[in-house]
Amino acid sequence: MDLKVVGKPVARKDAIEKVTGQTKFGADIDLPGQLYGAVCRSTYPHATIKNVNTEMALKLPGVRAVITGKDYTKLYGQFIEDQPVIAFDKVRYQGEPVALVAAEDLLTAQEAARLIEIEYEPLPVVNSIDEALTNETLLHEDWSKYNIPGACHPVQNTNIGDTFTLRKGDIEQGFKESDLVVENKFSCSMLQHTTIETHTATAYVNQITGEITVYTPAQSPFTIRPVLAKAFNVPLEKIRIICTAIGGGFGSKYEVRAEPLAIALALFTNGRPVKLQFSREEEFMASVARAPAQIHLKTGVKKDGTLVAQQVKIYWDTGAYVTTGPRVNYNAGFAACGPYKIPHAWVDGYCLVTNKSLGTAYRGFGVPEVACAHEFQMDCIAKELGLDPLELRLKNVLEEGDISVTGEVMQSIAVKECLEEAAKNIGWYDKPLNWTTQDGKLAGKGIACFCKLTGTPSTTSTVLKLNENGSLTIQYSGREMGQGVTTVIPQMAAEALGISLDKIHMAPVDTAYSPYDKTTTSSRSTFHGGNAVLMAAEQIKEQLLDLAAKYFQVSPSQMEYVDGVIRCKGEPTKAIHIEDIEASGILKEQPPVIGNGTYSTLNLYYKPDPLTRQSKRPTVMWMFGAQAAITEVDPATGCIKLKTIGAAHDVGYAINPVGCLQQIEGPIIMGLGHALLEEMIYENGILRNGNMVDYKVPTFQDSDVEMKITLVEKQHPEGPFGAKGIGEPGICPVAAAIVNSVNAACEANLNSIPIKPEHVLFRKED
Amino acid sequence: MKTLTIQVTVNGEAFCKTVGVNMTLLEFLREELHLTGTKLGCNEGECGACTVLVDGKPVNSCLMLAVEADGAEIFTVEGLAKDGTLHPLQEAFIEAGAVQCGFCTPGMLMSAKALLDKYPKPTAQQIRKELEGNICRCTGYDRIVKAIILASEMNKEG
Amino acid sequence: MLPQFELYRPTNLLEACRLKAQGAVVVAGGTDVYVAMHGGKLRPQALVDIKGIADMQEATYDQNSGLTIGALTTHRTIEEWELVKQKYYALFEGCSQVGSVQIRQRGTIGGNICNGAPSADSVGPLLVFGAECLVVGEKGQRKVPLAGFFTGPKKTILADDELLYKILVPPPAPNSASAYIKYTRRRAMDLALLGVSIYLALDKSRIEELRIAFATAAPTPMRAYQTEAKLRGKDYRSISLADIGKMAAAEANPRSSWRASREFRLRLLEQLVQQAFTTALQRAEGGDL
Ligand SMILES: Cc1cc2nc3c(=O)[nH]c(=O)nc-3n(C[C@H](O)[C@H](O)[C@H](O)COP(=O)(O)OP(=O)(O)OC[C@H]3O[C@@H](n4cnc5c(N)ncnc54)[C@H](O)[C@@H]3O)c2cc1C
Ligand code: FES
Ligand code: FES
Repeated sequence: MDLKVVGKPVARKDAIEKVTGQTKFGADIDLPGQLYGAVCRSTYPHATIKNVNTEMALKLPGVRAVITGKDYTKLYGQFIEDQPVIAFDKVRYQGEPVALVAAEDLLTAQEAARLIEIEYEPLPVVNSIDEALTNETLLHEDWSKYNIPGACHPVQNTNIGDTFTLRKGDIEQGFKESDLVVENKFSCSMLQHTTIETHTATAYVNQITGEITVYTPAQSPFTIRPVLAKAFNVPLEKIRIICTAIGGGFGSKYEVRAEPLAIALALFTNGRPVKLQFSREEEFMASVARAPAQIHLKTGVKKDGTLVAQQVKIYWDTGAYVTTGPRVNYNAGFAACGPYKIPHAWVDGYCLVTNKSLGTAYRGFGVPEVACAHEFQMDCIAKELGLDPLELRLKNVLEEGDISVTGEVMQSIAVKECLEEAAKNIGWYDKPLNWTTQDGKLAGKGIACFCKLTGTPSTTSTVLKLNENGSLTIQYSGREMGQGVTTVIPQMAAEALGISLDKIHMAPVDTAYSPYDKTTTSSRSTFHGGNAVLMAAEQIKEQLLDLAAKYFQVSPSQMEYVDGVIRCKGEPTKAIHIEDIEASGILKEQPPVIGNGTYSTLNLYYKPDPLTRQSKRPTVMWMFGAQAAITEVDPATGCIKLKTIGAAHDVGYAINPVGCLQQIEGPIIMGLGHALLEEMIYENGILRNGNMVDYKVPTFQDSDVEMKITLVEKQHPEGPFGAKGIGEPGICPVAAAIVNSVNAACEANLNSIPIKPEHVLFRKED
Repeated sequence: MKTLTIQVTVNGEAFCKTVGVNMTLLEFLREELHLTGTKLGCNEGECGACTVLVDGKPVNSCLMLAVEADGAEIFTVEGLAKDGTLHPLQEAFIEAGAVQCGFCTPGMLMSAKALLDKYPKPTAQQIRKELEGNICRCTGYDRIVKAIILASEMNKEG
Repeated sequence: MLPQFELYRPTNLLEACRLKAQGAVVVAGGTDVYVAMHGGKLRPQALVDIKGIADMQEATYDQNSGLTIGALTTHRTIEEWELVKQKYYALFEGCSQVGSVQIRQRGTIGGNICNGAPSADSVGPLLVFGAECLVVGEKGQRKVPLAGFFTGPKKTILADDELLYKILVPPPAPNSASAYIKYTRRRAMDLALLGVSIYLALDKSRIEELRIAFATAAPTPMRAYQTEAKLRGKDYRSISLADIGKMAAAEANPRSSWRASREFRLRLLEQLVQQAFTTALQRAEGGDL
């Protein structure tokens, strides 16, 4: 196929708005008559609420509404309805909303929130996975009281909010057949997405009709709409979500956060809109996070390095409410054994509730964590067997036709190529595992690979509207959050229809008129949105061919659509270019040219067995990639410097190659933060470092890393132009590769992230 | 005093406003002048999203009172493009792919502008140093460095 | 929005002292004050913005008396001041590593000192250069060595009516050099987990003068007087670097916190002292700086 627009690096379509400061993000929305919201938050991580006194707050001039948990006792949740909008009987994390205020200006709202007096009776705090596992203090005394609308499996009388299992073969038999059994543990810290835009929502309610409108930088409007509808007890169509631009998502804007609070207030303000914007402190303390994880692995191998059996136990510290924990548990469970052939595999995953902020969706949905663990384990095995880490991996990786741990015959799989390319990108083959640099630093190399599925089944719809002049408007609800979806979708439409890219526009996303799209997560938008757009484009073509046939007075079967030219076969004069469509007059007084496309993966999905997870096809698209790292460690101070990352990711087909690179470069630096810098530090349920100096995301100065990236293009048979997703894969192997390179450099087995200088100096192993 | 009347020039336009002394320059720009291009990311000087130029120098507008800008010339992202033409920095950011979510971009552009005013031909190292107060969570920074170098190679704006 | 307050902007020093005595919180660059106010930790009734006091902005150098730095001098001014780079390199290293350009553009050296943080980046370098503080109150002025300025974490000797007016830094000896090493987890926008400043004057290989100061190694910025005294007059070739590190670290009293353990800080301190010493030595021998 001779492709003109896809496969070419193009500038982002949203760039001009962004560089001129015109993009409207959440907080840039101001509505006439708007009030400002403030949240009175719990100072205790775990306590019974004895009394909430709002009297003083209500007296403050300018205060228009003060509401408490008593005003709204309905629980909500996408997987399990365990979370109150405003805490009413007890608080389960520091920062949980206890009362809300709306006032004429922000300062008044904040002052009023400070004046609310709350009497607490402190309860014992569950601060960690280990503490949660004792079940001495239960955060949720009775799971059975909660409604469970999604896939969530809590265990009564425990702090376990969800369980996951995977069973293949006979694990004990596998260990018996092995020459060597290696056991290890790996821990990952609690992380914040730290998007530069905090959570924000502006809501208003029509008191008569009950209609609720909310402006929000939501990642997944169609996922949160039913959650909000249920939480506020209105039919779906009475919730309208108007999406603003998103100032960074990475999963943080998947969950409802500011929306229910703004709406709850707006119910009490006589129709006046309420704007609520989280401060950075609130964002850290009480928005969402990546759950800390503890992963135990036991692996049996043959002397030659062939993997025989692997047992993985994963514990997620999912915070006070279950939220998206089960989905993280599920996705990570499928990926926990890595992209390897392992005849006997068991995985058990547990989401544990603790008195901390909420662990939820975070770029990679649990895969970066399990990749750290299984890739750490691979290096330990290589060391024990005296094998090269890359060789060990290449020996065991899944290839075309191999059977995965979930029983699927793998197709369109390029892990091997990715490993080899990533290795080449750092010059793996010319380097020892470790060496000392001229200035006395300990240097090492490490490599890691991963597999990640995309959520299946799911559905995406699009509507393409041809305008009178041949330009095109695309209605599609995949959300732009920097990953470039609003560029690749038009690229694919441009390719299909021969319309130039600058004549294609993305409509804003608003649940009032935008077609359904399940969610912008799981790296699914290019794949699903692309397929839907291509189907819609076919309808546009057909309609145009019909109209042109009428105009040329020939039968539609004589017409064809080639590169944007609607023409009569064999009659060169009877042809109209799509861009001349207005002049041609064929659209005049005709029905609108509108195509719609729906792509659903329901039909190709085989629901995995709930215990074993065996399935012919658990996902429509597996994503694979590998990264290799070189780091240098200063033995005197423990300082670690990431020098080089060589990456190779199987993108299927790169619709926008620059876009793909951007989705790998950004995550490399984000992953550097995860591996070496970032952690939310809790002491007895109190967050110690909830600001951007103490929670250390990489700065310009930390990010001077040589990056060499290869896009591997193993076309996916069902992907649009063969494309797969690349929003999350970039982050999945980064920390794992860095950990392995640091361990190689210092000949250590550091098994937790972030690796700190302190760990290096004292060789602290958990 | 609790309020004060101030005169400031923002992107070349003069404004005279009476504001509370407790209003930050950032709030003044966003809420009084409705110039929402400048972003609030932390209110604590830690992210750089609120960076504007005050008399040519980059400052965190979240950590400055509006009244302190009395008599000053303020420059924000909205002032970069002129007469329908993008500033070379804006063009370079687009061309080099230095923009993803775009939330850090306005502040980034302001710091970059100050940098180029100081070092017309900056090295990568100088860029990383002078922009160390601007956090970007999306791009990994490399393309921003490249964009600024690219802008420095373009024709200087008039 | 900042909580409401009354704002005073005197142009007269004594007026500022009087307002401070009445309870107004002094604000210079505001990079500490406004952060504390945004976070709700500080809720002053009144602020006195001292930036209108002209002679507090001045910074001059004289070869006999050295630097006279008005308290309102910003870190950026010092960073960009060629003379500081030539003669007071450690001070350049300290000020140029405060926060970010934006913070340095506003943040003042006086604010850095008066804020009283043990991590303050300008303080260690100033300590090793033997800086003195010129303090002004309603009843007059006094000179206090910077080393005696801090009485506890975030506590200084300033009386209710007193302002830090100027900082006086004697000229360094011609045969001297200095170094400041700031140890942070992150390479920018971070507070010193530890800081080591060294001033070293040599007479050939004899240590004519040595001053060592630490940041974040005790409740206040501190000097390592005992180590200095032991080494003064010695031939630097006769002492092992490791011993200097150990000796100096023994004077420190860092604490364990979620940021780092005491154990780690002490271990690190030994290393950083060696590095700072070596750097200063190289600079001294190189003849420049
Ligand atoms: C994001 C960020 C990063 C930072 N990074 C660093 C860093 O890396 N290193 C570092 O050392 N600091 C850092 N700081 C802290 C701060 O910027 C410095 O301490 C700065 O020097 C403070 O100066 P200022 O003029 O802004 O002080 P202000 O905030 O105006 O005042 C600070 C304190 O000193 C008092 N004060 C100020 N001037 C006088 C005076 N002349 N007489 C009496 N009292 C006075 C004030 O009342 C107040 O208590 C950082 C701050 C932020 C927000
Ligand atoms: S908003 Fe001012 S620095 Fe973050
Ligand atoms: S582009 Fe998203 S924060 Fe920089």
